Amino acid sequence: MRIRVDAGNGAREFECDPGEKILHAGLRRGVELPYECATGTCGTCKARLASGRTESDWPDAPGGRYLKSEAEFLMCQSVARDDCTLEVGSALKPREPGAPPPRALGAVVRARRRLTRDVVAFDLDLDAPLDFDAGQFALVTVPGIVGARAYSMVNWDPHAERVSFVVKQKPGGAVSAWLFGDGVEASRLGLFAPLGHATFRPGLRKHVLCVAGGSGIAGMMSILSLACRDGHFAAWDGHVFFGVRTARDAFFFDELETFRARCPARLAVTVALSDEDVPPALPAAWPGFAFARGLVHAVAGERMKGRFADVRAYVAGPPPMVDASLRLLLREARLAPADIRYDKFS
Amino acid sequence: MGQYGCHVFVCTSGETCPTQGETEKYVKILRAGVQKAGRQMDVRVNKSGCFSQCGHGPMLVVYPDDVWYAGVTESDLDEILASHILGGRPVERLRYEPGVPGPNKVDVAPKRAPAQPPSPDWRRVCRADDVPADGMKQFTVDGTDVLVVRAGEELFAYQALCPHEAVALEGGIHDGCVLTCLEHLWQFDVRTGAPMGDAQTGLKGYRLKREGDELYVALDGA
Repeated sequence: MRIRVDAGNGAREFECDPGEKILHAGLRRGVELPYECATGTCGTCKARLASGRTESDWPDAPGGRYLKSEAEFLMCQSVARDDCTLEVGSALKPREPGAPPPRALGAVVRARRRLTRDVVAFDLDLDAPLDFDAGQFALVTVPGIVGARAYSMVNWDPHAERVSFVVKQKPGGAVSAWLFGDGVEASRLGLFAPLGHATFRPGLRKHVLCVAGGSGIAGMMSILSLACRDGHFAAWDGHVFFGVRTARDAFFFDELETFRARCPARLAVTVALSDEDVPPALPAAWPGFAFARGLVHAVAGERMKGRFADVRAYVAGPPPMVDASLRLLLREARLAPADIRYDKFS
Repeated sequence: MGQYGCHVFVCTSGETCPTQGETEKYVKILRAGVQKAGRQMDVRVNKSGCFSQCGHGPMLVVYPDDVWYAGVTESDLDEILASHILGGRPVERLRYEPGVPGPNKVDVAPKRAPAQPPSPDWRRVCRADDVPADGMKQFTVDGTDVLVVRAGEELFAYQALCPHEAVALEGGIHDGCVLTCLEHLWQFDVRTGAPMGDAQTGLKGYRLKREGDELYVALDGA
């Protein structure tokens, strides 16, 4: 099917395979259609159908609340039934030079590791090597379950043949139930990757601030992995703030300590516990980290005071934590939006 | 010899006169009458502060005759204009002669006009102090969602939903200069609604008017 997109800055055309999501088809062929979550929630990818026929695979997607008329639909959830002409309100930006285009590929679950009582890590072997930017995510589809979930890559490697994800158990979530159930290892999954704009790329001439809540640390690990490898923290500071409820909910301390120990002069890791005082055993066991009780955005705001110049901030976590962090970064830190990169889970 | 043969003062900003009649409108009516008669070089009508005769309003004074009028209604204005201001003959039945010199206030509780919109185009939004200091709040006015933004002493009214994804701007932040929608960080100039940074569309603004403690908007646009 032929898709024509009329945007604020001109028209683009691309082919869309039968059954392929219109968003995926455009992105795959280098048309930077607007999107953020790619999972039917944020509404960023809405378009208006001027001619042709589309069909939503998920008519009840929460992002539907942003649709103002029958003609509007979410490109991330819709397939084309005919040649279509679409209108998007915004201008299409050019893709960042060198940014890897996303594509569909298969993967096999190689290992599953429990990180806390409700968080597990998955290692996936990819059918083919994948290039992605540090901080990006993948859409993951599980056999027999409709709809994709978005998970950030934890690792960063050029031409990666294996990727890791962190998944928090969601009561009632079908994918979550499957991932936490039996028989997951050796299962085949579908991926569409890489996606997302909360990326770190070598050559950034700024200090790096990471504010993560819970499994939001995943993308930060990828960023830290590349930044350490690239020697970024020889010239620039790194500030990592990792918020969890209690000491029992924390994970990736070994990995964070490895990053920190490679750049001890300029990379600082602070762990914020929101629901309990810091147990004395924690700083004793991890003398390289700082610990504080409080909400992670508040702890970051307190400790970063006066140090927000030349900072690029990355934020990921549950929506209230991300919103609170954005307030801090805009109002107190006075960062420009271009220097605030974030993912909201929902 | 002064500048005008006849100089009229209408109290428009005392404690009680403006609550006892639409004194701003009185000024307009008198000025229009003077203009119509082609006497604007000779007759001057000014808005005035308090004469310290509170409770006897609406009140106006005509100099150099030193004639004071009390309890003037809108329907009296034609007569005062024709007979006195243009004709030189004071309207005796409306003259104010309390018999005491100087201030002469009577104890009338000033009616703080709470619900008199300045004109039919204006719709009441809220009390000024309903909008938090350096904050913003969303209201519904005649079915239209309006965001009122307070920056220092200044107040502005805009469309309540971000033009990007129709997210309530009330949930965003502003720093007195820049208003930011937290959904996708679109930014707008607090004073003009103009788009900044990534934003591709500005905010529709509404005229906003403060009358005492009450705020009014004109929904027909900026």
